[in-house]
Amino acid sequence: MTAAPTSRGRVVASGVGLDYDGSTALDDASIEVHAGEFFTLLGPSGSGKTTLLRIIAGLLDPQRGRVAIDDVDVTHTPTQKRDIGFVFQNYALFPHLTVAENVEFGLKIRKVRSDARAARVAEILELTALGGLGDRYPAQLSGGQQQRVALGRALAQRPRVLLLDEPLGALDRALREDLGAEIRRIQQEAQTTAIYVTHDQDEAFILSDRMGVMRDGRIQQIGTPEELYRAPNDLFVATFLGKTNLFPGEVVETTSAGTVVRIGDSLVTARPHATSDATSVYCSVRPEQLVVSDTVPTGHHKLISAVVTDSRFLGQRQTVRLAAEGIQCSADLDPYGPVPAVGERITLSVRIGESALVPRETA
Amino acid sequence: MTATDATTPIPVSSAPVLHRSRALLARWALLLPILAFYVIFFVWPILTVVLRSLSPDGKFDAAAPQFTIDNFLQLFGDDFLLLIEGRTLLLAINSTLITTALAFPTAYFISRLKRRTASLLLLLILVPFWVSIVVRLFAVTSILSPNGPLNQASIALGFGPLELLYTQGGVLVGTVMYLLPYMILVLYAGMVAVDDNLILAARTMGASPAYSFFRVYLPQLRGSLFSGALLIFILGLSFFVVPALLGGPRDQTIAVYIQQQIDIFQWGIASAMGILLLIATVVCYVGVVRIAGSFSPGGVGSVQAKGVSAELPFRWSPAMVVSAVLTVVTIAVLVIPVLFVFPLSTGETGTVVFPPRGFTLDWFVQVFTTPTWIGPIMQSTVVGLGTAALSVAIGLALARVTSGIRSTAWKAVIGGLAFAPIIAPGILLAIGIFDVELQLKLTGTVIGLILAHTVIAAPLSYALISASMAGADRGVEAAAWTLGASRTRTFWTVVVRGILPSVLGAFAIAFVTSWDEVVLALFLQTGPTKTLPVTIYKYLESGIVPTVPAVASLLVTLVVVIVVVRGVVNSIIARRRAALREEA
Repeated sequence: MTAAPTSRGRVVASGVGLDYDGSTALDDASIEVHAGEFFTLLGPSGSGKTTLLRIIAGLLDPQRGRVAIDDVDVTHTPTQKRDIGFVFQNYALFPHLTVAENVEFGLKIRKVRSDARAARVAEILELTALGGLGDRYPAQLSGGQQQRVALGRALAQRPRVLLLDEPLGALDRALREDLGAEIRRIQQEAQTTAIYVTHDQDEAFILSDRMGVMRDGRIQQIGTPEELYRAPNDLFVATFLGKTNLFPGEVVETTSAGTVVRIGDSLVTARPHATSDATSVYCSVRPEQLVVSDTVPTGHHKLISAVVTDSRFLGQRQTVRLAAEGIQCSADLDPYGPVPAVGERITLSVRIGESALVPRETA
Repeated sequence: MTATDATTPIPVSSAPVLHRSRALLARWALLLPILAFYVIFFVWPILTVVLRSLSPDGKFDAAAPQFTIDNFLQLFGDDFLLLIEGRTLLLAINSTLITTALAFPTAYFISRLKRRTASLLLLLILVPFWVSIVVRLFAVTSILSPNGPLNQASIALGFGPLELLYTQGGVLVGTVMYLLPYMILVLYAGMVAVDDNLILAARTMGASPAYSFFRVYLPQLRGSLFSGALLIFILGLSFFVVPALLGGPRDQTIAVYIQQQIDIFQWGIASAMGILLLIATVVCYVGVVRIAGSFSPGGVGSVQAKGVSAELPFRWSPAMVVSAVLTVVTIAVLVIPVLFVFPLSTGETGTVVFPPRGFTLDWFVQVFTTPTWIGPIMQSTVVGLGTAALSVAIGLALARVTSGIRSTAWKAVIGGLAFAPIIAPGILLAIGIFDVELQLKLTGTVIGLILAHTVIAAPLSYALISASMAGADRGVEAAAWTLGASRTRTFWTVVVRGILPSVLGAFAIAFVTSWDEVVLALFLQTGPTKTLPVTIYKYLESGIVPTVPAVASLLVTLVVVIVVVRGVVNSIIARRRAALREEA
């Protein structure tokens, strides 16, 4: 297998916007995807992630902004000349062609000689674990197999960028996890840049090097999965990724250890809160960060007092629901450690400098 | 961590939009030739008839136009013309009523049968439907003629000779025979679409079978019933071939009168009558659209037998017995004329008689060895293939353009305009195109006939192609682009290839439309060689020769072969698909 130079496939979209039937589908979004990176656009339906992907592919024309691949402006280049691979949500396999012919399609267009073509098809079928199915028609394949054909077809002509539009959306849960890992393996082996659209955060976490969270046609935050989870910039990212408990508070001061915030009558030191000047904030504490005890452990700050209202054993964790001065919250505890009883009055605390602050936005 | 809802709809329409200005240019490049064709061969013909109807003596002078409504005043003032108009209206009403009375129970009976039996009975309706009306009328004239089987039976039973041919009764029978398949197909499609659970629900609430039929079942069919009835009323009103061949000199209808007038170049009254038919047609068509929501040309889609459900099995009841009897009558009216041509074609005598005397296949040999028939066969084939090729080209281009349009209003406008030629009264179109082609010096040419036939065949091709293009996955097209295929290449190797069966079907339906067409061909073929149906038509007017039944039976056989082959191919494809699905 010939290795593509790793510098291929840098994608930059700057200020890309599109209005659609009078409403804004994409609001001047900018992303920069490094060569060879696996980048995910994550967001709920209608957030504009598919629109952005289709604009990068040239299937939609942006009304504003530019798209560049490898520092060449392709904003007005038709799809067929962009040298990309696209995997559609419903696969869009050609029903009248066999698996091998589907994979061969792009190679034929590039007038690759027939022996080289056959070799590449065999290579792709091998890569996508479809050996032996080359003569089948798409209708004869299972959903997972069809998905792999779509992936193989998109990769056959060694595109600079692989674009994937919810490729696992049509599959059932168990298959999704297997194929998700496989997509990443194939992308790594093919050494191509991948931009992946999904609404499923599990997929995003498993696959991505970096990801961008989108909402209402806007990119809210870009970063590694860990950065986004630990240090969300705003309320939407904090609540969209995983579960969290929100405690309203007021910023008191910023020190070298972090930002100090007043919640009720306690002072809590959180992560440095730099992205906004807002003094009215939520302190976002993940269920697994919340410590339930009688006294505040060392290295922790007290958040609030609470009463246990419910306690459930869920195998990997014990989920405890709590009522804290009008705030409903939940904590995930070690099921093998001590678990408070329902009705018990306890203290909630969090490790110093670990909770995140997000503005109590209105927009 | 929790996932948000597992299945989100794609937020943006999956139809690819690319480079608006270029797409717009391509769209107009496709649309302009089609537009020019429709203007020259559809708009201009109707306009010229309108202008003639408003000119003194039907002679429109562009240099010094004079307008008068005398022609129209005469339509409602002249007793003779009023008689013709009244007779035409009566014929249309009577044939609509009789056809509906036969078609409803027939469609109902078939819709209650098991799938296999239903398919078979539908075939018995489809075969006569596809056989040229001229061929069927030839058989009807033989059956109704003074020495035909009906008259002979009547004499043998002591009722004396019957006057059947060249009477209004004969015209009525012929018209009903022509209209029945249309109405049955429309009603059957409506009936299989009714959800059986509605009837079951009515029963669970204590409704009697009669109550649930009238209060639950029938209301579901209101749309099909009214739009079907209006459709056949339109067809019956301007129908030409049956009254021309089965009617006597005193049984003229509007269409027949128009043709006689044009033959002697009297355009005034004829044009006004044509416009009168057009107005009546448009009024009825608006009615169809308002009732059914849209117009779909009958017989275009393939009718699939659905078969009765297990929850609501077939049961003999008095109503069902009546339906069965009427179904037998309907099928007899449709099938007997088609079968009747076979015995007639093998008689040894030089005149066509029933029952045939002797047995010979000489007439078939003569068909293929004498220029009398070889010429028409070639003519029909060439015109049919030309029409089919042109219609498919127009259908593909137009479907391509409309599939890219997202505004429903524009779609409706283009769809309505595209179907206008097949809604327009045939006789009006015939005289209009005749007039235009006279000016363009196209009458009597093969090209002229191909262009005229394309006017009525292209809408059917377009209907088939656009339906399957709309149903096709547009993602496949975008997928080909992302793989580097150019737009042209994608269109042919992916889009057209994907709907190939419909493209072939569009070709076939355009070919058959041209192959069976009589009225346009009658006017436009001024040369010695004519198409097959017109040649038969001429023999029916002047007197039958023994090769006519031979040609008729060959044409029937052709249809039967095509219908059977199509059925077999369809069932093989269905079986293979089912097998593929099991494998997966």
